[in-house]
Amino acid sequence: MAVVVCGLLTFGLASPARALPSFARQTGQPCGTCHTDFPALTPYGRRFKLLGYTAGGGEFRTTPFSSQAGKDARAELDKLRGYVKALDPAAASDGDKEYVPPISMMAIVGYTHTQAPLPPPTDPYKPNDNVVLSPVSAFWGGAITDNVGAFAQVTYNAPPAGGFSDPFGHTWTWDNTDVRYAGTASIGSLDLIYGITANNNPTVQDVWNSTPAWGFPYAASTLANVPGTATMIEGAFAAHVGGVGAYTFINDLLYLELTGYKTLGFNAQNSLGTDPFDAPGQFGGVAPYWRVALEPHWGRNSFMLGTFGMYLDVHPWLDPTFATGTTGVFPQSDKYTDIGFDTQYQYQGDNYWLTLRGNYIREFQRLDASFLNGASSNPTDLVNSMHLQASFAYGADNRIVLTGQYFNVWGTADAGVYGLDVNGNALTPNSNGWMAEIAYIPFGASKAAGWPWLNARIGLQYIYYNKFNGTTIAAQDNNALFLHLWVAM
Amino acid sequence: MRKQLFISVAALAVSVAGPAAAADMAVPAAAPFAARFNWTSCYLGGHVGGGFAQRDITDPVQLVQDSFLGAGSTVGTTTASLSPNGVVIGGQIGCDYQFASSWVIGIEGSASGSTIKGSTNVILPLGAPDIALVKANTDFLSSVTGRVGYAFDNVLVYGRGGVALAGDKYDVIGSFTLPPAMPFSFEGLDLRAGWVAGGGVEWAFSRHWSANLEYDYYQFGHNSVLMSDSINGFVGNVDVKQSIQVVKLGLNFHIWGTGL
Repeated sequence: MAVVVCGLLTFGLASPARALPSFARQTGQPCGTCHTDFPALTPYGRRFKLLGYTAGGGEFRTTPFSSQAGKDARAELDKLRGYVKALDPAAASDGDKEYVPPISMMAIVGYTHTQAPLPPPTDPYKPNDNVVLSPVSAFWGGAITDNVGAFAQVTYNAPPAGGFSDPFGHTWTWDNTDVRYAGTASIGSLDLIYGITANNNPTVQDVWNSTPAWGFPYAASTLANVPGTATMIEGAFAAHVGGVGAYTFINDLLYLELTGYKTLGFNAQNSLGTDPFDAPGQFGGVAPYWRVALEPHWGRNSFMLGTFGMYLDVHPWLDPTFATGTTGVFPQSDKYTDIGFDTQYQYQGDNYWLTLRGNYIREFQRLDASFLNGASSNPTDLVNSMHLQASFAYGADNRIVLTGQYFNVWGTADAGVYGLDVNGNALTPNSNGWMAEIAYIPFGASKAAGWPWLNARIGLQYIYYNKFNGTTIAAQDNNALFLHLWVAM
Repeated sequence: MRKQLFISVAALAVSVAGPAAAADMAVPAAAPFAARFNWTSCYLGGHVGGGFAQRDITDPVQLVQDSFLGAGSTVGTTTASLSPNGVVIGGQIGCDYQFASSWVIGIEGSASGSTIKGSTNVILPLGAPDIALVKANTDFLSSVTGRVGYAFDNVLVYGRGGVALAGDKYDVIGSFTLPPAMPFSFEGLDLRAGWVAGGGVEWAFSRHWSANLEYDYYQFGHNSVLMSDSINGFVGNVDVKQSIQVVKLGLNFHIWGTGL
């Protein structure tokens, strides 16, 4: 709480700030150059990430080892891309600048009201109307060398309502992490950005906010109930895996990526603050992830159509409650094939951004292990997930962002996985509803006292469910109002 | 080609006419150079068409009868042949490269939702006798293919081939008289990999837009599908042989449109 009070005090005294402040310090760019909203990216923001978080231009040295050659190359590339604003001439001599490590912090404090009180036990919280500080994160966000950069996050999460479900719950954990090597090359008529990413969450490396890791909502209540089913690629193995992959962005148009993931060992996950039992199990081999996206852009318009997906061979835990004291997995495995499609249209107006996004993920589940061991009633299941979203960000400083989203999860009925309804019929994973949010970002485009050390976002979010976990009965009990303040320093 | 020939002839006529003619008559403006359409580009688009499948499902009779009466009860083999059909709607992204003047190679990813479905009845002789309804449904079809084509300026004739995926659902439902009549509902899902080959013609009708008509043949071979009956808790396999033919009309936007 002291962090928030301090942040609020600074917030009140200072003027404009940037998105992740360490990125702003490094690039010298306003928050609005990279973000339409936190953490939704603009075309330039996407290219900054593709270039390995290494683009400089700010009032501080980019890396402890900055070279003028590297900076010149990057400035040339930025001009080539045509997205970056003119670099500050005073920033030309990188070697004369002071070096400040690209470290940032953020905290979200939120008030949650659900339509019906939370089911017991709710300790250490009240059944409803709670104010919780969660998450609180520290980041390394920026360049390490001219070609290597990182976004690495360590997070405190408040304990869940009712406490942890097994002895391996943690409040501090490693969070989204993406370390990159990036370079540029020209081969004939092809102009390439290429790179290697090492990360811990499939799609965290993606630069379009239509894939799961950075999808809307960007801040969410940690107390409100959420639908119990999602596809595997929608975060089931976030922070439980390590992956290394290669990517390229060809002619500022075509993005290709192939990454392989492997689950970390039980002890490694536990040491990093991740409860291994929060994931469905352990991979039997390397899980391949692919991504193809085509992003034509013209004038102030940017359009993307893409596909992504993953194949996972998962050995379920023998006893995810740890009641028998085993951390073993079944010798049989469940096979998941996730195939996703996504699209985005972005328009930059004189004083606003309009963004439309959509994604659809189809997951085919061959439940060889779960069916054999009685955890599922069907040998195969299907889960579909869809999100359709519109966002309008108006203004530079004092930016108002309106976002609406329709979401739908549907699939096959399975009594073993989803249980039975009141009539004794097998439930489905079906959940759908609407989400609306209005956010206020006080600092967006200008440089003023306090820059580039602070940023903030105030959001009011409401989630309405038509159907929740396979039934419309009491679905609206899960409707949630979430008022939050997000401060980054 | 006809345009180039016309331009050459026009240029020759102007040079032969010489300056004397220019003195007493206006020289017509040279015809603008008409560039050929360049297929080197990435593109994205959509398509709609019809899908016509052939399914041979073996053996739904044994699946039901052996489940109720015990393994080995059924004598002989029954194959249910279905011809499902339906609409195919989807999208595609791809990139082409034109070389050696008129040859084009490329790669394309395509995904479609479909309503390809069909059903047939089979007789269960060891029941009353009874009838089982066998249903097959393909709701997802995707592929990654390479293509090779020859361009006649803005018309491309091409063939393509590659790997394909189909999302299928099978049902065997009815009731079996022991007696009494016992309802059953077997269901099985499948995501099947196979190959696709086809070809078509694509017409670039503006600098950025093209339309194509394409035929594709998908072959998914034989595969065993595990069927489960949620009513009685029975489990068994059927063998499914599957192929699909698709005729579709597509519309593509070429990002680096040139010519015309």
